[in-house]
Amino acid sequence: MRTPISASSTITISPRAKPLWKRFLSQWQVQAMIWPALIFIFVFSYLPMYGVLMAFQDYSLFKGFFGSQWTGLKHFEAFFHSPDFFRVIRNTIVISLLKLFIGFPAPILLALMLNEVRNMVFKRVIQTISYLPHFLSWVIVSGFTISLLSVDNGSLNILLQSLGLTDKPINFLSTPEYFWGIIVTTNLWKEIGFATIVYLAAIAGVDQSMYEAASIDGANKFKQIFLITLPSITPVILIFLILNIGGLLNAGFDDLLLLGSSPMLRDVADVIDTYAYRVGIINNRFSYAAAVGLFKAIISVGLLTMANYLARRAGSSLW
Amino acid sequence: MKTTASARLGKPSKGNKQNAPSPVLKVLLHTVLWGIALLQIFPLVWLINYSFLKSGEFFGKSILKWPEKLEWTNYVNAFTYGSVPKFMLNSFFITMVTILVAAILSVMLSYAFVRMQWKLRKATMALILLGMIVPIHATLLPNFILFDWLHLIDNPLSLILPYIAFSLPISMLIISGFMETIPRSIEESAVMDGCSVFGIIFRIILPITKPAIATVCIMNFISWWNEFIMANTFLTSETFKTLPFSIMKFTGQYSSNYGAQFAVMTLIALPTVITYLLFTEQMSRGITAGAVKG
Repeated sequence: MRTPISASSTITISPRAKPLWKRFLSQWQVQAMIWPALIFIFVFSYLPMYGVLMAFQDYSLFKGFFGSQWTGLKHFEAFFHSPDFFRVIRNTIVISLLKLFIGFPAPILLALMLNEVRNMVFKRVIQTISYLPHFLSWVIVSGFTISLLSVDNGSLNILLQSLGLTDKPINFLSTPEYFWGIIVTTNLWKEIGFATIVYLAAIAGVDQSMYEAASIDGANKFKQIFLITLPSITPVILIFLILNIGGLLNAGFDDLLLLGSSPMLRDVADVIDTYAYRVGIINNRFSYAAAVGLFKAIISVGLLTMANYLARRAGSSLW
Repeated sequence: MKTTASARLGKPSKGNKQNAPSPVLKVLLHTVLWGIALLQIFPLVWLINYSFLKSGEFFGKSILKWPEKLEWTNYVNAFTYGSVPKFMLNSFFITMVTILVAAILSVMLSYAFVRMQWKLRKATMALILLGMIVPIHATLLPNFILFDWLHLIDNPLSLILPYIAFSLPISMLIISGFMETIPRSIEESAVMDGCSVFGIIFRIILPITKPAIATVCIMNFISWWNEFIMANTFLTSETFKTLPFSIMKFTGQYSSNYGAQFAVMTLIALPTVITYLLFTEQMSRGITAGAVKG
């Protein structure tokens, strides 16, 4: 797309021999459209990945990246041998799997139920309400979760006591045994509506004539769900599942940091990401944190590749 | 997978009348769904309720405590002691600059990808889309070091710049998807009339792409308004802190002013909830466009 500005190119004699900067000038519009965005992403999303190299040195803020001493795999070894290693890995996998087992099927179930509702207003209201919590920040969700569960006058303790289920109030947020349940519940509460909308969109795309044919053949509602709806939305379900398995080591961040900040919960709340954040930014052990992060990234890429391989064999894949 | 607006709302499937589910099942279904809705909305009602309670009213033996009369003291406290106006202004400034720059950049970027032919186009597009899988918290530490080096720690730019970078991939995906559906003939006639490239973008493409831009802006507004971890990492002084920090003003080690905390939380939630309720349609369109392949 040439425009008046390219008049500058008349100076050059042979178009082939035009120096790079002149060619660049003559295409300044295209260049101006691409470079700002590219620079943004490169500098703030990709460049930080250089940070992984810190894992192989004794990084110090004063010496900078080039002045710091290279140390090989020291920090990895330190992480593998640290008493935190087993605990952090176990928490990451357990929390992630709990979120997967409960948070993954729930939206499918809700979408299937909503799809059976014939009253449009009712359906719309339920859908809007269930999607609403997705838009609240974790700061708010953790704020009222802490209050709802509090010992002195938290609503849950009042409810349990009035139902006669407990004698004295339970200190939910200081008891490690309850922590995983709390995390899974709050996540389910916050995110169920998001995936439901995607599944509903997928269900709406199913060819309606299949249902007509099925009902003429005498298939009841449950048979229609299992034999038509679910198989039709399997590709979408699989993509979500691949992403979930690939993110198996992403056990969550904001939620765990805000709800599990108490040192009493460290045994159950520390996952790879929050651990790296704490030792890195709060304790200033940059290189050690980078090693922990890199270890996680390598395993995550492996998991994603594996999940995608399995999905491709099932006939659906990300790439 | 094609989903039109009407289809997503769930066109009632025809021809099921003859074997409609039994009334018992229907009642059961509605009860379960009402139960879910109630659970989803309860904490929010609770939150608003508590933000109007007097400090003495917190103690009692019921789950939901309705205030005897609306008590605005908590909000007054939030505004005076919690620096809510200042922090809210910071939040608005940071979010607005972010969504504005992100929208302009992603429109230009999308135009270059959808309408122009150039070397490395596909590769560049892949590079930008891959930005979506970069986890935000993995960049915290290196960006902290970068901003420290640039002396940008405790500067609104330390939030605005990475916010824009993380907005671009998904914004570009949605806007370019929309742009592909615009017929080329309008631009062709504009070029014939001597319109420049930027003239085309700002005078023709921008007005037509408005719905997609609106979707993108709303999505970005909600995600950056709620962002806390980066703000907590890169901001240190009072001057530039964002709204979530107001809550901390009311959490003491020994005593906390719960009423004021709930008032601040309500104030944080209000803009996003109102935006969501006003633009539900655009929101879900954006989600389904971004999440469903095809």
